[in-house]
This record gives sequence, structure tokens and C-alpha cells, in this order.
Amino acid sequence: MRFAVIAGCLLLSGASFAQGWQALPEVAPHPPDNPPDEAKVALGKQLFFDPRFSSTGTVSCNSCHNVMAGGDDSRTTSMGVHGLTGPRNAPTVWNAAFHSVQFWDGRAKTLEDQAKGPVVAGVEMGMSSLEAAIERVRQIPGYVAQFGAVFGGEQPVTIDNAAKAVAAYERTLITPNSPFDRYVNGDDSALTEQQVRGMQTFQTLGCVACHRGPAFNGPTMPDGQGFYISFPFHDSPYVEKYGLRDEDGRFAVSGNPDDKHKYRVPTLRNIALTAPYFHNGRVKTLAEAVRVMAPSQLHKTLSDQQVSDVVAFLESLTGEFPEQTMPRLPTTPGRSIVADTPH
Amino acid sequence: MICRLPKLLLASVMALGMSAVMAEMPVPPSPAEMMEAGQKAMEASHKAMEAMQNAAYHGAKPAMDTLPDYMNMVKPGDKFQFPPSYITVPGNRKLTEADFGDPSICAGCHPRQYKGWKGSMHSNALKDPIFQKLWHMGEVATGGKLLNHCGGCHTPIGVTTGTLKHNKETGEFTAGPIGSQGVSCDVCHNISKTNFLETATLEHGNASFELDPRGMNGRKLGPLKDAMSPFHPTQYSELHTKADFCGNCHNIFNPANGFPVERTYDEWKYSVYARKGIVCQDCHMVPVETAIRVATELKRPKELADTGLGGFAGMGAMKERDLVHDHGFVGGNAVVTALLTGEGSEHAEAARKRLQNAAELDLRFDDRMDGLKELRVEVFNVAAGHNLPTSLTDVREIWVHVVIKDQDGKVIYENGQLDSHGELDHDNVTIFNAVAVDENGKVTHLPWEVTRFIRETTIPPKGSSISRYAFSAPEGTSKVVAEVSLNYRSYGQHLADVVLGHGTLTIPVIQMEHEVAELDL
Repeated sequence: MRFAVIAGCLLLSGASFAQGWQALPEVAPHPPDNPPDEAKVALGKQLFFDPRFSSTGTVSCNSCHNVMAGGDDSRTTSMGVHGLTGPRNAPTVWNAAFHSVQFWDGRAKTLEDQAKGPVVAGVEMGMSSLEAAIERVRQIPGYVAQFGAVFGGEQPVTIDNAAKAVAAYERTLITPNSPFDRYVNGDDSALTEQQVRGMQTFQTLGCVACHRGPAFNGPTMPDGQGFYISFPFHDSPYVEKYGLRDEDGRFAVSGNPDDKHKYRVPTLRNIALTAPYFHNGRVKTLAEAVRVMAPSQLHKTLSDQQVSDVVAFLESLTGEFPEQTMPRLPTTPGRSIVADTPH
Repeated sequence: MICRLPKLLLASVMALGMSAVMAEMPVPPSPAEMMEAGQKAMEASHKAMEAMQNAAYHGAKPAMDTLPDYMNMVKPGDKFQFPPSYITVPGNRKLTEADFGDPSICAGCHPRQYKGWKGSMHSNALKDPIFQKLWHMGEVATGGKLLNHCGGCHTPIGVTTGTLKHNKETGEFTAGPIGSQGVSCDVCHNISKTNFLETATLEHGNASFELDPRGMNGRKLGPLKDAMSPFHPTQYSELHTKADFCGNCHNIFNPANGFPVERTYDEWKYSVYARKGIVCQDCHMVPVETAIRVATELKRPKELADTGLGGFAGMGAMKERDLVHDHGFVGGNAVVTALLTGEGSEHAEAARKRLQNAAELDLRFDDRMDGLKELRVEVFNVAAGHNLPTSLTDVREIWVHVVIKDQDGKVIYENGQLDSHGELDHDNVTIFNAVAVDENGKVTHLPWEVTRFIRETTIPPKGSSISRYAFSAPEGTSKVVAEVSLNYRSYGQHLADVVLGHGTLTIPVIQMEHEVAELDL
């Protein structure tokens, strides 16, 4: 009897792998030291939308990760304070909670760590230091009260707590129930014939080798480890055309020569909404991105039919976006903390 | 009854060679000392161990001071961190599970390899319930000396990360999430050298390898000189192309006395297969159809035409390979694969197929001088590059079952049937196996007790064995029909009963071969 039970379990796990396709969970995992609650998420959302923590008081997280849209900024590379632009295309914040590491090069292990980066990046929010940013928060009485209510303690307004609140909000940015998800859950009519064909093509071509799992961003990795892949892996005319090897990728972070041109595999959820594509944002359409990927990663050239089938399938990964409303922000009547404090 | 003299001679010559090697070893005491000091302990030891086995069932503490020294081949504190296994880690680095990748990660680009491995005995090396029970018995009987010995090959990751644990209450052995997956991708593809020159027998075995993982994106070692991966660095390893690689685990000697209890690699090494350069991988990393061709034509798979085994070794690869190796490592274990992956599963059926293609039978009738008739049965090892059976040969059983009927189907002679306890008559049936004894010469099936074999009847590669069955046909018999089966089971029923508990599992019998011959009288 016991043997039968063991055998049953193994068969199940085998089958679920063979099937491979997984719907997006409705809840994202969170670290043990940052459990979500309503007040924390609300605070995080305010901070996410609040431009006062950029040097000029004009750029918020939402400027580049627009949650009213695809969670990005539709630009080649992001524009920060004073119209400055950085080297990379903004990854979508939607479903970012399902990445095992953050940024194209995985230099932040968690959403909490990631939240601290752009604030002090010269071409993004441009603050001189995280201390300067948190000092601004401390000057807004409404925030001080909220931090106290959410985190408690003697000095609740800390950089870490601010990052925790933002991360807690970001973990609510999940887009389940896409046509693909409904199809996987048994609704055969959720996908068109072409999308089903594209799904098969996606699998047989081998796209699924990297773009797998519920977020189409790779296998489940151990804590703090990213799923990095060389891009482009093979030579093709696209390398030069789109400058695909112009920067070093993860090598710049790790210093390990094996990491040259490696990037974290991005999610394909809502990919139809997040053009332009790739780390440098040089490829403007999804069809072209698919055309670039095939020879670059799989050493294959696709027919136009295959490209349009795969694109149709990728369009089925656009999920349902939980309604986002602009939050009320605590104010400092008659006083601008942006003008009053040095950055 | 069975003519196998040359082989017996060979076995004893090898046994002599072995003891000579042991005598030269610097670490253990001299043979004289061993004789003197060991004799007393040995005499006392069998009784003690018998008591301990009983105690194992009743939860009593083993009497530690009477145990043989299971560490006498490897001293703790020597270069070997995990005695009595011979695993080493460069720089004696402390490993964690984070040094290894979960096989599911590899599956993305290597689905073919993953599919073969998942459900294989390698993937179940730690989970195998029969092995676990036997190990538990041994662990109790030896006072905890077999943890690294068995674990060294059954879960090298569990051993080197220290996550391998034995629960004395339940008898269960567990390891971390990756370690529990037995011999997984990141075991073999992180093996960087063999330590065979440092073993007590100067031969491969008892996990005689260096494990050098470099974490998730660390380089993977393999047999391709020009491998490229977008995920992990790659490194060519000549060792991976050789039988020596496999021999590090498929050759096992009792760490207390050096006696080789599993000799699969050695059996191969002195075979015609080795002479022809045919290695383990050539048969056990290809489908059975190809393995049969390898054995029949005595050519390596890459020298065979139209194997149909070409393809890409990984997803997105540039170069198509002539041969992509299967990773199912199919052998004769159709029992545990069926238990763990389901009756009739791909892995269980593959093992069955192997067994059914390994041997052939030749039947002849003769007239004897004394007037009796004789059926002569010759069993050929046609397709195994090691003995039949191999590995724990004192546990495995291959035997000949002969039924002779008259023209009406009435049985006039039978030999080799199972009795009501599922046992064979060991004195009168042709069984191909080994009979092992402990220090006191008492027959045992428990590997940690084995000091020598008193009988060894396995059939070497391309060898054969002849049995003769005398019978007389009753008056009026016009025709006799001989139906002969060659049967296999992974364990004798007695062992299954002792290890698993009486009546828990009937070890299935697999018919390897069946032949019929008729004689008109």
C-alpha cells in the first residue's frame, strides 16, 4: 500500500512537469520579515507614486514603471530627472514579484533591495543619498504617523521600512487570468486557433527552455539566485543591427568573465504591452523581438507564419490588471520639502 | 553439474592479488597483527552482530566494542573527509545545497536527458525503499559506520553537504532537496577526478571521486570537447568518456575487510568489451536496441550506422551531435523502478527489455551411458558487458527452470520451480549468483557482514554455463518436450522477507529467456 502511495506522488510530479504550462498564481511569495498588510501596502503605494523623493520632485517610481499602463514607460531607455536617460529599458513592475532577483543584471536580490536603487541613481531619481531621501519622508508628518502605525518602534521612518512598504505594494501587482491562464485552467475557448498553434511553436522551438514557469521567466531558483542567460548566445546580423553586445550585462556586477552578456531572463507576462524590447530597448515591435530571439538563442530562423503565431500566443499572456487608483498623498501645506531640503 | 573451473581459478587468483595489495598498505596493521588482534574480535563478532540484528528490530543499543573496524581502510582525519567513502572536495571545502542545481533547472535545455534520468535508478538512488531498509539494518548493526559508505554513491550531495541524516526511530534516510534526488545532474557533471589510486584496493570503488561543484552557474563537466551553453560554463572531461568514471561507484568493497562485494567494473575490465574499447556508457546510455547491436557487433555506438540517436545535446545548440546519450542508465532493476514509477512505466519496461535481451539458451538432448536421457542447457551471456548477474551477486538470482513433459503434456521432470515460500532449492537448482559468508563461514546476505564468497557462479561477458539434467521417460512415452526458462529476480524472497518484513512484498520474477525443444523417442 505504502509503495502505491509513493508511486502515485512521483507520477503526479512527473506529469506536471511534462505538461509544463502553469497559470500565474494570484498571490506572490513574500520574505518572512516583510509580511503584507493593508496599511503597509497602502503606504507603499503612496511612496511609489510620490515624486517628492527625487531630487527635482518630478520623478516617482511610477514615472518609469507606470502601473496605469504596462508597468514600464514605453521608452527605449528610461528618463529620469532633468531629462537624463540611462542605459537600460525599464522592466515592467507588473509581476516583478515573481522574479528571483531584480534588475536586468540581477544586482538586487529582492524587491526591497531594488526599491533603494533608482532613488539614488543620477539619471533616475537623482537623490544624493538614501539618507537624504528618507529625511524628506521624515519632514512629512502624515508619513511619519503612517510609518509609526505600520512598523512601530522608536524611529519607524527608516530606509529599510520605506523599501519594505514599496515592495509590499509591488507584490500586489499581479495580473492573473489572462487568456493563457484560462486555457491552462481548462477553458479551451480562451485561446484562438492561432494562439494554440503559437503555443505549440513556442514549445517546440525551445523558447520554453528559458521562458518557463508561471511567469515565463525561468525555473524556480534557490533564494537570491538569478536565472541568467547569455544574450545573444549565437552570432547573427542582429547583434550589430541592435547593438546587442554593446554592454557586458551581469559581468559588470559580478566581475566574473563567465557572466559577460548575461541577463536575467525577463517575464513574458504582458509582453505585448511593454515594447520596446530587450535590455537596451532597441527593438521596437514584438514580432521583431521574436525574430531576433530565434537565431540569437535557438540558432533557428522563423517563417513569417511562425513569427505571427508566436506573437499571437504572447498576446494571450496579457492578464487582468487589478484596478489602480491614484493615492492621496500626505501634504506639507505652505511648504515644499523639495525646495527646502538639499538633495 | 556445471563446468566453470577456469573462472573459479580466476576468482581465486584475483582474491590473492587483492590480499597482497592490502598487505602492502601502510595504514592498517600488518597481516600478522591483524591475524592476532583480529581473530578474537572476529570470533566474537558474528555472535554480536547476530544479536545486534535482532536488537535492531527491538531497538536495543548495539555493542560497539565488538564491531569490526569499518574505518580501517580510510582513517578519519586523513585527506578523506567522508570516510569510509573516498569522496573528496577540493580544499576540503564545506559544501551546501546551494553549490548544486536542482535537476528541474537543467530540464529546460536538456529535456531529453532529464526525462531519461527522472524515474531512473540514479534518480531513486536514495529513495529506493528496499535499499533504505537494508541500509538501516546495516547502519544499526555497524554502529553508524555505513552512513557515508552507502551514501557516498547513493547521495553524494547528501554526504558532502552533511544533509544526509538517519532517523533511528523510523529507519529512514533523508537528505536536502537536491541530495534526496540521488545521483542527479550536478553529481556526475561536477565530478572532476577519480581517487582510485588512493583506495585500499587500488581500484575504482566506494565513491572514489572528487566532487567539485561551483554553484548554480558553475562549469559543468562532460564528454563534449566543444560544448557551449548560454547558462553554465562547460569543460571537457576525458574521465566522463571512460568506464572508470562509472567504476567509482559500480565497484564496491566491504570497508571493514576490503572484500569486493560488487564487481561490475572489474568484471567489465577483464572482458572482451573492454578490449574493444566498449565502455559502460556505450550500452547503458543508449536505448536497448542500440545496446544489443553494440554487444552483437562489438562496436561502439558511434561506429554503428543508423542508430538514429543524433540530435542536439541541449536546447538552442548550434551543433547537431551524432549521438546524444540517454540518461536513464537502464540496468536490470525492473522491481524498484516499477515500485516507484509504476508497473509498466517506461523505466520499468526498459529494465525488463534489457533483461530479456542479455542471455540466450541452447537446448540439446543426449543419450547417457547409463541409459538415461539428458537435457543439456547452455546459458550464454550474449549482451551484458559484465557478469550475469552483477552488482550484489550474493543477493541477485538468475536461475534455470526446466520442465520436461510427455506427448500429452504430463510433467515427467521439473527443476528450478519456486517452493511455497518463494524459495529455490539452492542445492539442486542451477543458480547464477554468489554465496557469501561472514567471518565465521556462515552464509549471509547482508553486505556489511560479507568476508568472502564460497561459491561464485555468475556468467562472465560472452561466457556460458552448461547444466545437465538427467531424466528417464516412462514406458510408452513417444515424445518429450522440454520447456526451459531463464529467470531473474533482484533479490531472493528470503532477503525481501528479512529486510521488508515477511509477506510485505513478493519479489517479481522476470523471465529473461524461454526455449522449447522436442525429442521423438
